[in-house]
Amino acid sequence: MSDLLPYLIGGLANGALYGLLALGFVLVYRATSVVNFAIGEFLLVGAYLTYTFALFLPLPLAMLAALPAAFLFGIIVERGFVRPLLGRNVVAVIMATIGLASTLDGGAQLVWGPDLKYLPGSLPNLGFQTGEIFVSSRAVWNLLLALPLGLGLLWLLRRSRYGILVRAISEREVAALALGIPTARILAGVWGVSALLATLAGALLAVASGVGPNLVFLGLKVFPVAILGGLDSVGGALLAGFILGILEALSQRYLETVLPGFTEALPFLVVLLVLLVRPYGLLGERQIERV
Amino acid sequence: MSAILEAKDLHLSFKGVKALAGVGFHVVEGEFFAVIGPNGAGKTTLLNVLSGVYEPDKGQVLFRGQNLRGKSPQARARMGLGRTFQGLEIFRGMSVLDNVKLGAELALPTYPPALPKAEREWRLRAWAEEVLDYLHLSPFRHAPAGMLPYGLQKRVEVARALAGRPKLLLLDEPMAGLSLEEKQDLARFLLDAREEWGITLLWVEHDLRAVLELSDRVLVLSYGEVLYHGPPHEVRKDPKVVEAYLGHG
Repeated sequence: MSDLLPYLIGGLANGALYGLLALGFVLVYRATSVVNFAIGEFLLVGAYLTYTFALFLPLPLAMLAALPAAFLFGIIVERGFVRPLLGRNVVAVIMATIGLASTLDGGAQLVWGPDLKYLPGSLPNLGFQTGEIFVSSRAVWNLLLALPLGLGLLWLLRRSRYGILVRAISEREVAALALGIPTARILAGVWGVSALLATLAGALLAVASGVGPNLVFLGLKVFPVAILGGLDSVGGALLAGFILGILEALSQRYLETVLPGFTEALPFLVVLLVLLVRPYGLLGERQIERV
Repeated sequence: MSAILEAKDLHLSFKGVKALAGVGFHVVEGEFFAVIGPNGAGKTTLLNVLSGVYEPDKGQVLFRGQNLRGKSPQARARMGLGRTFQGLEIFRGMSVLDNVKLGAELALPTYPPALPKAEREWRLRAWAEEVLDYLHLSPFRHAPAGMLPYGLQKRVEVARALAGRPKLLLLDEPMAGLSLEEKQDLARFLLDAREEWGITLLWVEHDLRAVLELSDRVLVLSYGEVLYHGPPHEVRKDPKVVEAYLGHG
């Protein structure tokens, strides 16, 4: 048991990041029905933003400063790439986000170069030891930042006025228009928040293992996480992040020696199995078409 | 009595198909105005032009003397042009009360600006409750709107629109799919709302009997053109209307 716990703690630490990123992805999908294939690049840009700020500022301040910058970045993306395609075919929008993804990939390499960069400075060490078990500082920070932010966002969506407006738009945009709700401004804000969440995930990742172009691959994990949670379920995204984090940890511990590489495929296998039983994901809403 | 809404020579085509071909009419303040016509006559298109979903290719709409060209649907809603939709457009995942409160927010600018936030919130809630009570929806205030029976969902949509205190309310087939009793209830609610809150009503409706009984004046559309514009009791005698509805004798 005691040799399993470190794996589980590591799984939770990863799960927190998956959850944050999936939250950003699902939020946009739910509010605007846009599948953002550039979410991994949002994370990458966020990580580089944090890195750039960290060249001038102490790391905690740099992480903080990156958040409003990311918010602005999200709004620019919405205005520049998404808004002009409003009302077009879904595929057109998807292609646009794929194009955006490559543009951001290339752009990031142009600006920051292809090599792995380590952040100067570090976060205060919050790691601790209880008995036999060592909890890493990384795990504490990930959970400490991701959980309150994720749960807070859930609460905001459910209870705050802004959240109610977002839900109104995501459910019935024409009706929201007819009620005078400023949909354009609110949807831009949603993209901003999405970029902010991805940036926090990117910053935490960068703190732990540096920033390089291959950070985008975490973006691929978003799809199994979001599908598992239910594409339109914000709470499901957070939950599914932790579930996949832990499953990966278990696979690392027990299966990796027998089936090397299995952990890579695991998220997608889990999604396949879950979708067989619950086609709308764990917490997704069942779609009923009324004709 | 002055015209609250004036439509002049509206034209709109979709890829060569003429949806509106020179539609003109006016709605008098305080009246119950009906738009009828066979399927595909352009009734919903007309509502979409009035509420700003589409911009007409030609012609203009004046609302309380102001030209609406270039005004977004939101801006029109804030000017006092409310609307309900054919097919349900309520927020199904929200409670009935939240639906109506969102509608009521449109009327916020009419509150005194100096009002403290808590007081404003309280008044908003009180007004929403009043509208719910008015439409006999109070017992369902905390139910998720999507869980209610169809007839009540339709009523929630009307309540949400009324809560915004529109000057003119556009209703797209509010009676479709309702039972006779529900139709009578809704008709009474609408007539009362007109009396009590001074709302002018423009409705698109298929139920000819209800239209002829309730409306002050009627506009008949067919293939995007006006066949008739006048009082309801003469509409049946109009040869062009008879032909559009019944075909050649």
